Amino acid sequence: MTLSDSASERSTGTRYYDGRSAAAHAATLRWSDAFLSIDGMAGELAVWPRARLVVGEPDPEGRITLSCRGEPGRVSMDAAALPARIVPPRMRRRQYLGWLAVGAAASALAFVLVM
Amino acid sequence: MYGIFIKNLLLQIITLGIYRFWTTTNTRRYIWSRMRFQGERFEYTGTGGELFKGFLLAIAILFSAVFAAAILSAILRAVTGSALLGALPPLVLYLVIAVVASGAYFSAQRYRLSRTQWCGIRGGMTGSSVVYGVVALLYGLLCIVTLGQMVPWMSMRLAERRINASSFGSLPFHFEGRARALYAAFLGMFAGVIVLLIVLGAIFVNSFTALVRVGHAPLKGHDPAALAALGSVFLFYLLFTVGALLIRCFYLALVTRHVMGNTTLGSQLRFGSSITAGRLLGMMLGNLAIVVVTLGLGWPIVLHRVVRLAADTLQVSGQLDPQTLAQNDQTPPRTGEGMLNLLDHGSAF
Repeated sequence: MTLSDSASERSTGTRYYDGRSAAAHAATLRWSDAFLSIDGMAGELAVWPRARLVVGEPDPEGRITLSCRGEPGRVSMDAAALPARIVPPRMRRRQYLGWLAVGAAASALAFVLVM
Repeated sequence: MYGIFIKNLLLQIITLGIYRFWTTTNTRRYIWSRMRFQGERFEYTGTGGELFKGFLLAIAILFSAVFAAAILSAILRAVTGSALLGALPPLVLYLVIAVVASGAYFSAQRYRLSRTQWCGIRGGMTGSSVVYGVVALLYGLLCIVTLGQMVPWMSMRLAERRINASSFGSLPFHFEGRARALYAAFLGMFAGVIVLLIVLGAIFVNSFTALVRVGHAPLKGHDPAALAALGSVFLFYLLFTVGALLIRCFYLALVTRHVMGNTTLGSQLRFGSSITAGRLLGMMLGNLAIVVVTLGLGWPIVLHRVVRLAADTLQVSGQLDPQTLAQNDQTPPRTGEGMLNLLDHGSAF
């Protein structure tokens, strides 16, 4: 078991895990406006609606896990290969609100400290 | 990590602490995503909302129980006129709280395992947290009766219950502990803590007698004798707590090595630990210094040090075959560790 902060062991390629076994399937992703299609060697492995995609925490190697609410499968891929507009608008709004709250808290804290 | 820490800290301040459930989740996501086994990362899939709902559920259950006990007690007292019978419901309530608090560790482990994924496979747990709580309470009473001498036996039996109920994917964990292997170290720790207590007691005896003289009289702000007595007692408490913790390092390191060294996952993986009392002691003293010097702002460094020590000293032999590791068939809990958040200090990151 290792804890890593560095990108020393970069693993490349997109992998799909079906959630039934831990076996990895080499996968290619096809993005359309509404769906993400995950293709394997033998054909299509899964089709996920983009609105239900969940983007996981990126690791130090720049890889992220992509999942779909209500589906057991997972995709492990380079964060750089993720389309820029993939973050759902709701999540973007939530991030924006989060940082707005942080800004308000910081201002309040600074005000209290100065006074 | 500092970005997460500062954002979490500020959001906790403006939400008056409610954001702590999301803080826990964000920190776990960060830590899990940096742990790797056989080249694959772990993933934490829990949410702050689940933790918050679990907390609200725990509050609702506990308040209902307290309310029911108070009503029942009042009715019993009014009907029978006996204060003894009236005291029965609160007594039962205390027992229930003790059982639930002990069982909370079991259910929290179930939640964390179910939200830990590796290659799309999650962990799980069988068994009842209430049964675990009852057993832990009975073992605790046994420890009190034997003046603490059953602690190694109790910790091994409880660890067996928790570990043997756990699984990852289709593979069960197995642990069989022997208290005999720990007893000599436990006796040494026990004697060490008593010696520390006697030595500190002898040093601070004057402060205690001064405090007895102060008694229950209201403390005056400028009474130097009373303030000095209180300060000394606080110092005694601090020195004893820190000293006892340092003495315990030797025992804790041995327990960790014993538990890890006797745990397996299916027939494929065998665990071990190379942790030593010296490393544990160094980490604890270092962490204490970091927290004190940085006034708590060094918490991310402390967390990193703890997880790094755990990862560095954990040994895993064998190979997990991803082709044969199937999904866990236990139904994951819908809410998380509310009772632990409510009844424990919530130390788990």
